[in-house]
Amino acid sequence: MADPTVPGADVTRPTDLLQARDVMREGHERGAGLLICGGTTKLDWGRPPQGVERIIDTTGLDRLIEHDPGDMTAVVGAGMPLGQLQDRLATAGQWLAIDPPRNAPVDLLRVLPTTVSTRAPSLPSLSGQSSPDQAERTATVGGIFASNDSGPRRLRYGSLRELVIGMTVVLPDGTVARSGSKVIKNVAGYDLCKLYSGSLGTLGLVVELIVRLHPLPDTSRTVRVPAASNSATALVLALMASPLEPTAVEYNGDELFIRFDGSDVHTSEQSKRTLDLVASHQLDCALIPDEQQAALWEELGQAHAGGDGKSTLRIAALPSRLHAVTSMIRQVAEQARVDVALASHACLGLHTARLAGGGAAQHAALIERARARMGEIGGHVVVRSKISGLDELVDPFGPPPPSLSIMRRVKQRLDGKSRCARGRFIGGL
Amino acid sequence: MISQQLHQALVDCLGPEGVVSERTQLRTYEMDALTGHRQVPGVVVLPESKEQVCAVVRLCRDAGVPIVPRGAGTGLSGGAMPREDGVLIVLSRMRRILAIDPENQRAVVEPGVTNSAISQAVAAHGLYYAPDPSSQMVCSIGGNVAENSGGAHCLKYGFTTHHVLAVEIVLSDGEVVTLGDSVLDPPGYDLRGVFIGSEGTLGIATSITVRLLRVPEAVRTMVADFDTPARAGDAVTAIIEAGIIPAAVEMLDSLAIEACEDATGAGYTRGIGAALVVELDGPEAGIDESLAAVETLCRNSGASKIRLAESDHERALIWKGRKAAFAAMGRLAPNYFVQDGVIPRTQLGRVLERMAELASQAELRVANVFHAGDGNLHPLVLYNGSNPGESERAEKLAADIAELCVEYGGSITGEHGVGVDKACSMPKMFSADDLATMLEVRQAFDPAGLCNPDKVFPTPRLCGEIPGPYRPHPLEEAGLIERM
Ligand SMILES: Cc1cc2nc3c(=O)[nH]c(=O)nc-3n(C[C@H](O)[C@H](O)[C@H](O)COP(=O)(O)OP(=O)(O)OC[C@H]3O[C@@H](n4cnc5c(N)ncnc54)[C@H](O)[C@@H]3O)c2cc1C
Ligand SMILES: Cc1cc2nc3c(=O)[nH]c(=O)nc-3n(C[C@H](O)[C@H](O)[C@H](O)COP(=O)(O)OP(=O)(O)OC[C@H]3O[C@@H](n4cnc5c(N)ncnc54)[C@H](O)[C@@H]3O)c2cc1C
Repeated sequence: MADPTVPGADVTRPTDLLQARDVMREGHERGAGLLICGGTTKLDWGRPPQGVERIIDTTGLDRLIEHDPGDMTAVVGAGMPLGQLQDRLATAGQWLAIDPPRNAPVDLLRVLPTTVSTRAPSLPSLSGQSSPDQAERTATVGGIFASNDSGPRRLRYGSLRELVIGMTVVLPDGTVARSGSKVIKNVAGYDLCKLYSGSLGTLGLVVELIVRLHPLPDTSRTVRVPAASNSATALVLALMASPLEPTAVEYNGDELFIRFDGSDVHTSEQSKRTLDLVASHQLDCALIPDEQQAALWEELGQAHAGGDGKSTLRIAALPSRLHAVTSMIRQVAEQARVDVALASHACLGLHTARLAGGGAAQHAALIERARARMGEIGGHVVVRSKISGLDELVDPFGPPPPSLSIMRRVKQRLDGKSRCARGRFIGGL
Repeated sequence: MISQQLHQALVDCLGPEGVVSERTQLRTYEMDALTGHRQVPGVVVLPESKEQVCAVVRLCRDAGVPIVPRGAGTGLSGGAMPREDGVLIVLSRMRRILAIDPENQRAVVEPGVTNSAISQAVAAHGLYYAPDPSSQMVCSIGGNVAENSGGAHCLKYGFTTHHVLAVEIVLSDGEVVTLGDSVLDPPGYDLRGVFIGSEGTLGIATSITVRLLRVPEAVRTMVADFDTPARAGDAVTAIIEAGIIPAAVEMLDSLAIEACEDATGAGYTRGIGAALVVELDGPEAGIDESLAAVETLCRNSGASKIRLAESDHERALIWKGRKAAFAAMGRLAPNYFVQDGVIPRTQLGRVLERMAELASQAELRVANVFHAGDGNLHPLVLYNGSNPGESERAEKLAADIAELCVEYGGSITGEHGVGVDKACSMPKMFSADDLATMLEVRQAFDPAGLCNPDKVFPTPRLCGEIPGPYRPHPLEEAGLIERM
């Protein structure tokens, strides 16, 4: 199955569970290193994986296996592009309620400096197989799950972690294991889906996911509030303390955007009351015209995307620390002479800082300073996309959590030969 | 039996008031709310702090003695059933609220705090803790975490796992670690998510950080009468498809209505096939429109009568009737087994038919109350334990019903957990490899296997030498391989 165009590197694209199992267990005895990739949009997250001998391309596992509109669940191949899935579900008026940003595919050469091949493998051009061209790849459901990426509307629906109710994985030794079921409510056995969400492909290959769906909302309304970060913070806390039920609250450093989804009555009443609440804070505000909403939310979502020659940081803090995080980032950006754009999921306390300009050393200095400041603010900084050279200077995960010892034992138990993206994860797992 | 030496060490560490070893006192801990499974524990300890829990666990580790955590003992699957050769660690004395952060809507509590006590402690801030098991006045948050408990209002708000941000645990080797964080997405594997619902088999929770919600501004509650549960089920599907997510949707069948009416006089219509309780909550604005939509959808599905709760009192009465369902069964039969299977909502009609067939074959009656929104059934298998052979027949019927749910693509348990009760049904839902993989994770947390052994997973001790037949391997199911 070796790709003739790439000496030394195997690229395999299983199209069903049997092939997936065989591909995984091949080379297990000698501990052959694996890298799983879907849309390849997140391959630079974590540390660069070591000793990759084989790339497993999941895009052949791309079927919508079952869609049950009445029960609002679907069984999806992990390699199915999210966009394709959403199109299919939309025909029944439903969607998988996640809206992560779109990242550009990552250049494999950058991710695999230590692959056995002297040339980096390229994903397309598999003889006789129709793998998508790398430039046309988009994020897969499995990839989004494995990176637990999320977008503005996580506030209402949770991240994909909360929407996955069952899964089938193949462990590196070829063991096929399921967890969960097709029903939303289920406590039989351990919830291993949680373990694989955010695992960055380090515990095995996710082949299938069972997901909970939501009806597409009839209407959306968005209120825009220009506000400096201290008054934005006060407003965010007031919003959380109010009976309002926004689906997303985004802050870009200058303006706060408050979104409601649902029936026409619901969104119009909620947005009206939001206008009142904002007025009581002595701030201006306006309702975004309907026809501008789609473009606005596209832009607000993409403000969290990585890639494009920028380094991307994910900062987490309590919602009440919005102002503190905003000012801290401004200060460390100034000190490190790096341009930083900050985008915040304000009520969730999640922020994306995109670093442009400056070299790896400056980005590293900024990250060090930001981490030091998070001590007093409370929270953490994780590096996602990285400009080249940054990998050698910072640990993307920061100081390991106290539970690292258990994480190490989990990795040891499920991937004892450390085949899956060796070294990529926290603590070098 | 516990050695004299370990007993003395426990007394040295907790004081005599923290150790129960007198036989009659020990018997009060012999079971949880699953009354069919009993075992007098070797010894019971009542720690008051994390340090004491650690000390006890270390003593047990050194002695190689199993530990069983217990909260309030309201579990319905025998999860807290003691071991004769083990130490039962009861956490009900650890009931301090450690911190409340009203701004960020979080609180940190000890595991023995009851579910309702959290909501009471934060009520002054207009906040509450959302998951609401019917046992909430008594059950502990530690038990809720261990079972990933649900409740009537979990349809809209989610289960325990959606409301617990971090858990501090003591591992079976005495190490203390915190899983999760009060901020979102801490780096690393989501071990918090694995621990929640692990039924005391991965460690002992000693402090829990929960998310709080704002008390909803408005609530509307209605009861709709239907000819058959299947029709009521159609109404539920229509409501949810319309994009309305009620706070709660509960159903009672005719037998359950009978019992609840006898017990509470809550005003349910006797003689109908099914009553559907629908509760909406949220902002005042728009709630009456949603209510009107729900009414229409119920009528379209054949509701014969719809009653709106006109006052808080009436609403409370409706809920009193629903939540009294288990207790009320005493009026229909001396004993009952409660099951907890889950089915895809749309299969309701067919599953209830099959269930009725199974019941008539077993010559037993089954009443049904359920969380209809998420397909979580609570069939109550009624029997008279003093009739010879009837309890065995009832237990068999209960297990058959749980396994029927799996046949329809569901689960043997939606919220009560596997415990000892359903461990032998696990192979119906999972293959040997599925379970082996879960056991690998168990080993990562508890290599010595001392933490609540003999729960959740089928063992020869519980299920006999051959626990299978297991659910077929996924490749077999897909027709890609044949049984080897
Ligand atoms: C409406 C919508 C449209 C979107 N469209 C796009 C789009 O057009 N283009 C785009 O780039 N993004 C899109 N995204 C999504 C997204 O933000 C990320 O790019 C995504 O999280 C990464 O998935 P991936 O398939 O690229 O993963 P990869 O980058 O290939 O992998 C990410 C990580 O997961 C691991 N992994 C991947 N698959 C598996 C698996 N099956 N089992 C185990 N581990 C695995 C990998 O090893 C890696 O560590 C869209 C999102 C939305 C809401
Ligand atoms: C009348 C009645 C109604 C009920 N209604 C519901 C309902 O609506 N929804 C629902 O989900 N459940 C319900 N239950 C079941 C039960 O109340 C829940 O499972 C509850 O979470 C158990 O809590 P507990 O404190 O009583 O735990 P216990 O019964 O003491 O223990 C349950 C399990 O948790 C473990 N455990 C306890 N504390 C800890 C800890 N600190 N660390 C680690 N493990 C621990 C035990 O080992 C055991 O496995 C009901 C029970 C009754 C009797």
